[in-house]
Amino acid sequence: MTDDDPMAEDPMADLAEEELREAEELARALDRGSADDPPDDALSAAALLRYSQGGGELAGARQDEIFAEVLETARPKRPALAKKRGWLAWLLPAGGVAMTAAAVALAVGLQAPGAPVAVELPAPDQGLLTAQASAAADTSTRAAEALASQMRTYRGDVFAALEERYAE
Amino acid sequence: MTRVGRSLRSLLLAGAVALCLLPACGEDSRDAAAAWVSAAASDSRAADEAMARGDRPAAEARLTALVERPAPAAVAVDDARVIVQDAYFRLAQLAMTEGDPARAQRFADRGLELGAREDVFSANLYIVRGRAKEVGGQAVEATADYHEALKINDALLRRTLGGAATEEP
Repeated sequence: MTDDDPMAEDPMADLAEEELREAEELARALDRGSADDPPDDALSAAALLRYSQGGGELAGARQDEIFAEVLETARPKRPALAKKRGWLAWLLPAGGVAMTAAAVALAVGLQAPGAPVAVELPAPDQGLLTAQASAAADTSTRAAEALASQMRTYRGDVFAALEERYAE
Repeated sequence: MTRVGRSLRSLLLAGAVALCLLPACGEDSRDAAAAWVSAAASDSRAADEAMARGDRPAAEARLTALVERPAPAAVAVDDARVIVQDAYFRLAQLAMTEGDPARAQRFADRGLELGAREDVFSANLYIVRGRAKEVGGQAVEATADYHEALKINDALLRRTLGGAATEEP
């Protein structure tokens, strides 16, 4: 037997990658009855071989094994739907609340642009300020009365300004 | 209609009602502000009249009513402050007239707690509190209050004289 003998070569060497993949899929299909991406002819071949071996019936142990696998991997559809509906039940009212709050905030913002601005009060005249300075320096009753008298006039002006502003 | 639909509809209805009521709310708050200022002015005038006829308890009752009436939010904080501080000043003066410096000091303290500003009302409170402290034997603390009052008074006087000077041709 020489190196040139074709029988000495690896029989797998000439197989294309595609053929190798198909062979793997066929092996999987024979074992499990299905595969991720089986070639049609591989599945057909697997089905024929299975049928010829056991009349198409799976062994009891194998049936249990597959059934357990199915139960484990199957997704319960109804709970998932219920979960989605739960989200919807939250989302819709929350959206409604957010929209209402935004509308109210916008309307309030348009109605009241901010905190009320204080009225510009009349400036105190020199007579009041002089009486005030005297009251701070002189503790006599006369100084206190002079300040009280000046304040009566100024207080009247302040209230007049405030009442006019808030009556608008 | 589903439960969610009903909830959504109720919320939208509530929002719509709130939007419709907002102009009315604004109107109400303006009315409340005007009513508060008007009531304060009325109390102040009534206190003046009571003092003029020598009825101090009546004057005190009106001024107490003024300071205890909470100002609505639609009244500017500074506007409410000057009105209430002036009433506390007058209550403190009344207490001093009745020979109760401790009470006078409490009124002045409450007035100044509203915030001291560079205006006539804060200066008055410093003066009456200084007087109360002086009579109560706290000479050093009284001097500090008089000093605060004079600083404010000086600033106001400069502003007044400065304004008068610029008005002259």
